[in-house]
Amino acid sequence: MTLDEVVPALFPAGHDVVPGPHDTVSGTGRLADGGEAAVLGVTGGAPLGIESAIVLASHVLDLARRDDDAPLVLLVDTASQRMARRDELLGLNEYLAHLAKCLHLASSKGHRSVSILHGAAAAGAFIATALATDRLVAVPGAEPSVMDLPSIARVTKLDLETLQRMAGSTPIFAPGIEALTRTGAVAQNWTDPAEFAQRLQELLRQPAASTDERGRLGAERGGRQAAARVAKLVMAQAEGHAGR
Amino acid sequence: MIETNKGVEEFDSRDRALVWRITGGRTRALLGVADRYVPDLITSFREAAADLMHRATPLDLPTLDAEQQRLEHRLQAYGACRDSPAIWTAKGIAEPDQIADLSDDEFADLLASQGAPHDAR
Repeated sequence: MTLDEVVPALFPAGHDVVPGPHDTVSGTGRLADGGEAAVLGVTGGAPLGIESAIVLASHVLDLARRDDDAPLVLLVDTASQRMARRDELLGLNEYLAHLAKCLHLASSKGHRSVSILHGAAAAGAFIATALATDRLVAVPGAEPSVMDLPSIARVTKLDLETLQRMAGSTPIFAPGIEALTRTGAVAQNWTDPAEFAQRLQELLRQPAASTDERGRLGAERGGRQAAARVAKLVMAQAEGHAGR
Repeated sequence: MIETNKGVEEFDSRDRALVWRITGGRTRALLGVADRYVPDLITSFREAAADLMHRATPLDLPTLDAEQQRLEHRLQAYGACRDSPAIWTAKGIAEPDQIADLSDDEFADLLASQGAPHDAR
């Protein structure tokens, strides 16, 4: 779905979402119950670079500063992180981590956050946007991937055919909504735009989870069998360490 | 990944000197991306990691506001640079092409002389 299709479907009662610099959008949307949500987005399938990351982070910090608990809807239609020598030089990893941290902060200060993935998102751009909100919803047109297989082939030195075969049976690095739903990364799939506004309202009404539920979902859905267990062990060790 | 997706013209992973100038530890430390620079020994790395583990900055609004300003400044000041010596020149560092040739001690002195206003966290 295009941005012009997704936004009215989410906010039939009205919105003032407008384009911003560097392939971003921002504004507010009227929720079904009359409340207001902050809306941000990276659009047009543009790679997430240092400019767009810092623009989005600035908006998220503005939200985190507010005294209210307005939720955040993050519209995601990007590519991977911008693969450019210049962005790499300037520390793109740090800009992406900063954006993810800002999203975490806003959430921890009471602003429930939902990503609506209506285009592509991969690798660092996926992690720093769609995977950094409380919930990720896939709608028609969503094309999530952890990392494109040719890049995985290059990094792991496994040949592409082997990886394609492995991706067919294990969802850990397989692209697509189905695989990422099985891993727990995608919380819900919405297909009927007529239901988007109501489903968004329902999602925002759910109490904030005190912990990240993706590990548990991934285990339940069979896509990530060890992650929840490993995360629990790490937490236990970290808590033990903090007491020293 | 950059080379795989954008071609060798964008980033040549076989050009070791280039890779170090773009993503090397000294570049990261001088630019303020790293919390600390240590000599190339596992023991140095282990000691620094153990020390920093107890110095985690709280993930709160003041920390992330400061980080926002630091990253905005970096983009504004060096956003037009395509290689690290151009950044070192803009920062007023003498002999910007010789960073890789410094000894660990010389590099530590250079890093200290830059102060820490733009360090990570």
